[in-house]
Amino acid sequence: MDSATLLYRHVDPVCHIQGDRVTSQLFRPMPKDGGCLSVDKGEILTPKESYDRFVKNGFRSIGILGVTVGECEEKNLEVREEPIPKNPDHTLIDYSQLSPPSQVKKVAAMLKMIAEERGWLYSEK
Amino acid sequence: MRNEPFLQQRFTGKRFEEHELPLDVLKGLSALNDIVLNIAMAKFREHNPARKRLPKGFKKQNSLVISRLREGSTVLDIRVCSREPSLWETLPLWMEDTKKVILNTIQNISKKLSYDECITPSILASFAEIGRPLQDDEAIHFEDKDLSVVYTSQTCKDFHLASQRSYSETVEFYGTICEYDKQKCTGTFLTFSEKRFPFNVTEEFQAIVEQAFYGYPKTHVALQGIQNFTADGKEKNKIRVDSLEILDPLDVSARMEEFRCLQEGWLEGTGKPFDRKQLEWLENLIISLLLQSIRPPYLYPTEGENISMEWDVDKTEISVEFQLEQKTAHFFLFHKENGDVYEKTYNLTDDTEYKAFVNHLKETIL
Repeated sequence: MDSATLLYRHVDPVCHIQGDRVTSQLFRPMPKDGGCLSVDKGEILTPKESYDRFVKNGFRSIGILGVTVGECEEKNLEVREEPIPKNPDHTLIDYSQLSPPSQVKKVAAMLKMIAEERGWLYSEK
Repeated sequence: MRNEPFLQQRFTGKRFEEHELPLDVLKGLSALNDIVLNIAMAKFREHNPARKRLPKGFKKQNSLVISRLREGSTVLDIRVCSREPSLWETLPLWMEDTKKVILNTIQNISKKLSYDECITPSILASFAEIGRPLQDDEAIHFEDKDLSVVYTSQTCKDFHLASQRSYSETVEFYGTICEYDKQKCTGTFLTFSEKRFPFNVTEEFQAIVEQAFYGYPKTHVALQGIQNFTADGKEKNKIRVDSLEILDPLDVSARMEEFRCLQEGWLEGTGKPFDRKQLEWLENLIISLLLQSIRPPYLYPTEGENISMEWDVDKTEISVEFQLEQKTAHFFLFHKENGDVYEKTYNLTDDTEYKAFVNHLKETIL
């Protein structure tokens, strides 16, 4: 991955979007994931391929928003590849170095702004 | 001269708490008139075997009126409206019998016990009509000096089953239009709990169906209609749509219904179903905020079966995360331009903190 590599984040139709507004939680890690956020790296994988696999694996997605590795690193977030059996492109954005928790919320809100400015990388429309 | 009250009906449930009577309930109640007349005719004949015909004007003499509406939640006094007031001051025996039959039939139907032989399928259908407007939390208590029986929406279904071997009921769903065939004029409604209901798209609803179907992200709609059930309570396939309405994307009740329908694993494989009482508490809280002119929030479910309420106000993003079990609210403000943040937690079970929370929102979000 280089700094321009896109990281795909799937938007859940109930949890992440209401009307056309996406929540900042989209880029906020959950305590259950140990302060890391799951994304797919877009080195070779296209957004459409990422979407198809995500849905095939039994998850809901209305589309994909994304940020680059460089944009994460600017916020002092480490990005590391973490392939799993059903998803060789699985990647983590690590927020664990950020504290206090308000810092995590703030960075998540910033990443959402960046992703929304970039626009939908894929949408099921 | 007024004769004595025939029956007293006491309505319980949220809609009756203010001692008011919704008009749609009256629609159901009008069926009681048919029931009384039909049973009264049978009972009059039983008590007067020598008479070959009913007295002239029998129906007019024995129709019902509401003579009084009282508090408690809502209580109706029902009187027989004799056009000749001097006819009787106390109820004649056959009218007393009529009353007993009505009360016993309601009591026996849900216990699957037998009822008076004068009760025909069409009378059973009229009994079912009484309960059609009732909502799940509502009941009508038919009260007399010796006996009181309760009629609920389940009683309504029992009467339908008994009268037709199949029955129908008014249903209301929130969801989306997931299929639409313009040529065949058919569509499918998908509820938040992922039940599918095919329906015929009439001209009246075509524009709404198209708006909902082609909208992106999916436009939410509220559907009201009549659904048929088989005798054993299974849903029949199609719904007759009586009303279809595009919902405001920020409709609080619809969004809460969406959360109620979330099943195990709703959050990327984890996440349990929400506690309904906690959601009801939050819904009431948000509605009370709206009544205080606070702008409708966006709502999102969060980890741990909690809810986040969010707004974009000028150059700030504001969220309030509710911990539903603890009844706390965490206010968080993020300034998009300079990156400033502000946060504060409120314990909503404490009156002073609750007021401070509401005032904080009023100052920030109005």
